[in-house]
Amino acid sequence: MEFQVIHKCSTTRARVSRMVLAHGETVLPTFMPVATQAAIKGLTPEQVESLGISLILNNTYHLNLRPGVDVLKVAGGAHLFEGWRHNMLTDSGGFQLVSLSKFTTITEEGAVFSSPFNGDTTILTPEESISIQHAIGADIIMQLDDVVPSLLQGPRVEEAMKRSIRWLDRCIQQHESAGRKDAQNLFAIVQGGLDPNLRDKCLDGMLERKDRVSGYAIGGLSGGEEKGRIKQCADRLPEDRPRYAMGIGFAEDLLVCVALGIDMADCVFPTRTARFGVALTHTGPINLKLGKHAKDFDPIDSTCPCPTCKDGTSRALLHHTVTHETTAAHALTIHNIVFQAQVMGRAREAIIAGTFPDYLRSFFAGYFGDRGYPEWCVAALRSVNVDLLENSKTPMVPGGGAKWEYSDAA
Amino acid sequence: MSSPSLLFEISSSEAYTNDSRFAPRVAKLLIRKVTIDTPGLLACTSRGVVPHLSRDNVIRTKGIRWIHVPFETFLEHKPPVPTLQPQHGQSPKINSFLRFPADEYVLSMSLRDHADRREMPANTNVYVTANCIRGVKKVTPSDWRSYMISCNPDIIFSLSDIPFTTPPYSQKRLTKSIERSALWLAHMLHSEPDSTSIPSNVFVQMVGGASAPARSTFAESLLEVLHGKEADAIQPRKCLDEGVAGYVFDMVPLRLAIEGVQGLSPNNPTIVSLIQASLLILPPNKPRLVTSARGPHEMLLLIREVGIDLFDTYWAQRAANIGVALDFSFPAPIVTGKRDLGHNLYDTKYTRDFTSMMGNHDKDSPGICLCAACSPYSTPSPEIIRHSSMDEPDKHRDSSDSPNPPYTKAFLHHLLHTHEMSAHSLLAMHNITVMDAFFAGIRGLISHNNVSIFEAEILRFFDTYMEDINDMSRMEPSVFERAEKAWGEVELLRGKGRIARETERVKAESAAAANEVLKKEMEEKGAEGAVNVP
Repeated sequence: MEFQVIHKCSTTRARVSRMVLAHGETVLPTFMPVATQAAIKGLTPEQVESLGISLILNNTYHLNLRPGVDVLKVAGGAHLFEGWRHNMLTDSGGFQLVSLSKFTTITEEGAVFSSPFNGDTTILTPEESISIQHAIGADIIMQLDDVVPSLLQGPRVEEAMKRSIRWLDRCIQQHESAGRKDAQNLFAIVQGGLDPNLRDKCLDGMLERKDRVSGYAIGGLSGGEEKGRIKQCADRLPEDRPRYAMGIGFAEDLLVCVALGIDMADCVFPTRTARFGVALTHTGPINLKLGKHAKDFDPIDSTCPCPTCKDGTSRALLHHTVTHETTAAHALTIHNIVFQAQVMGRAREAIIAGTFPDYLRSFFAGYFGDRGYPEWCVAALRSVNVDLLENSKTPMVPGGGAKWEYSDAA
Repeated sequence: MSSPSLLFEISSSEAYTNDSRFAPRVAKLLIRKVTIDTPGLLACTSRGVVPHLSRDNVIRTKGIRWIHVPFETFLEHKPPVPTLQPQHGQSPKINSFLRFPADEYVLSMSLRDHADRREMPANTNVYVTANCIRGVKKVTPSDWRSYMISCNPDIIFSLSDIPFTTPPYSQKRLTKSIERSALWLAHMLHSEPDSTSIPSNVFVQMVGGASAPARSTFAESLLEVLHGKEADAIQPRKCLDEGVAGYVFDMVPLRLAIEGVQGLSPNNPTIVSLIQASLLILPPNKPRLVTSARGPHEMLLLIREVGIDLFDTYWAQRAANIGVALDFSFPAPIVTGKRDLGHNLYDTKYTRDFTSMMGNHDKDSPGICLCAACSPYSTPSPEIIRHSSMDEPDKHRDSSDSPNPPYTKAFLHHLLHTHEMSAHSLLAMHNITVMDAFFAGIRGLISHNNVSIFEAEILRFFDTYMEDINDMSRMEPSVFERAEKAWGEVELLRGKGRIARETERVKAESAAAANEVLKKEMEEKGAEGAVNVP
């Protein structure tokens, strides 16, 4: 991997960088749409590529189930199988194994899955996870980590953190001995829950392995929560490695993370919410199922460069087709992917121009101006020298602040 | 605002002078700047959009040049939303609303969806029943005319009285059907004092059910010279047919009607004989459109026997919905043995089939499918969206003009079994393109002006490809039947409601397991009054 920091914000910890992988260049910071089962739901790779996306995520757990490693090997890897010609990242498969199955137990060997119907056990070891990711052939692969729910407390959190370091070593070993070090890039995942001491210890351990990993992810923290742990990790992670916040997708979360020094994030939120009829905009989400949009002949956002908006597709037409026709799901998925890319693209532009704090202020004013800045946003941005409340009439409000659009009748 | 007139120019074909009014013909249909070569296709829409295809994918599918829009889904609001569309320049409201530019597409509208065979409450003298999400709506001829004047599509299907009650239809019912349809056509052609509101491209759905005499009578009523007030109403035309730009034959109600009279009349009517009855005395130089034809065999038959010019792609689009990739061409390739019209990509034999959907053609053979699934083209670099000045999508990219590798059967198979929507987008683009190439092949053959060659190729097509119909004599279910079954299984497993079904199943299994344990315990302990727990 070639990784080069091009610009740094002089106020916050944001930076713009360039990453060149086997399938081309990706400029950071960026948001990665998720192609769970070898496809961004509803879209072809040609469509995704035309939206200016150069990096997507595939799920190892799902690809391992279907189509399976054998088919992928014959196909020559996921890029050739699914027709995606640019950069790809795979997760380790650990998260879904735990989140999607009630029957998984974590042991030192790996994640053990026992089928309740026939008692068969399968085990996902760090070695196996890396092997599967080798067969998939993604440009960036993730270590298998021992993930615990972010709000969990107690000794399990420390156990998981320490095990993640031991599993990192096993992943590195498997990756290097398979001779894939130059073709695919392994990222470590920092764990430790919400405990700053555990996070520190994890960082200590993983930073020792710096020369054998290509990047660092911050795991076990998804969205909304206090960004203190993200800041702590981002402050200590090396500048010359990309930093990846897993499972972050709300625009406000993304921009706060960028300000704290994060380069990449992934989430199913924008594409999933699109399929549910919600379009994301710079002033908040729009729920096109609501009757108030039935006679609105304007596009979602007349300044949006996505094919749906540029073509002038009206909210009225989307309202008429949303949830009834897959066509509407595709139109909204296209829009939301471009929205996420625009949020990050404008961030890059502002960092280059030295106006990132202004961008933050104007984005948050546009997005939350009507109801108040969430407390956690104000706090997190203050920690990197941006005060949203300065010269602003908008109040601060407690709580998560996640925006939604409700019916006028409600 | 009136629609510009349609021009229908038939290429002269001297070879077809015998019984030429029913002979196959090649023609060009021109509306505004759009030319449609016939025999050709129109794409079906649902709720105003081509199923599975977002606008950019419609643009990638060059075979889509004419779209047909049933109006009835818009009845859920009063007034219907498309009529509220603000006027943008010269663009007709319906084109503005649905985003199909008027100088790139032909847009036709009917009240009802022609493929919908559900039973409906009876029509009356004053209204037609139509379906929308809020239930059945009654639409009067005045309603229909005002909706169409407001929407201003290129082609309007006049309101016809086509019964969707249970056949057979009595003589009385057919007479009503004929009379109402003629009356409503007159109503549509009625010229206002403000003469800019004459709908000028009206197609009529030919009624008369499965009765040849009834169908002839309807044709006569179109040609009947009107007098007095009736004539004034439709002036400057002298008869209804002068205001008719094309004739429509709907296969779904026609098949229903034929089924209804099976065995009841001495000579069982056929689709061909009934269409001929309608067209016998009518001018042959107007486009003939068939809706819901059941595949290329039926289409070839109708072109050969009755000179049909246009077909909707209902069958091909339905194939895409159930996972069937069409794979046929006209003229048919020289092969031994009979083959299916397409591939049921649910079949496990495709798990490792890395060929494209259109068979195993090598690069130089004719018949390479040019659809966006078999010949996918990346968007040219200048058109790729750049989100910051640092984005350089053309870097590290080989800039060649050739398409990317085709999407494989193995990948489509995977997408279908994982319930991914992109399967249907790829299949829809592919299947419509196959139909487009099919009609291009037909036009090429008819243009040779050699009857016997065209007929020979039709017979060879019939010998090469198995027709997909429910044929009791077949040993194996057809490709479509197997695909539909497989689609149903995946839908049950991964579609809407699966979590509820899964929960029920787990509950039932744990309840059964708990019962077993209880039963065992009671037996072991010899409980008093132990009952037989089933």
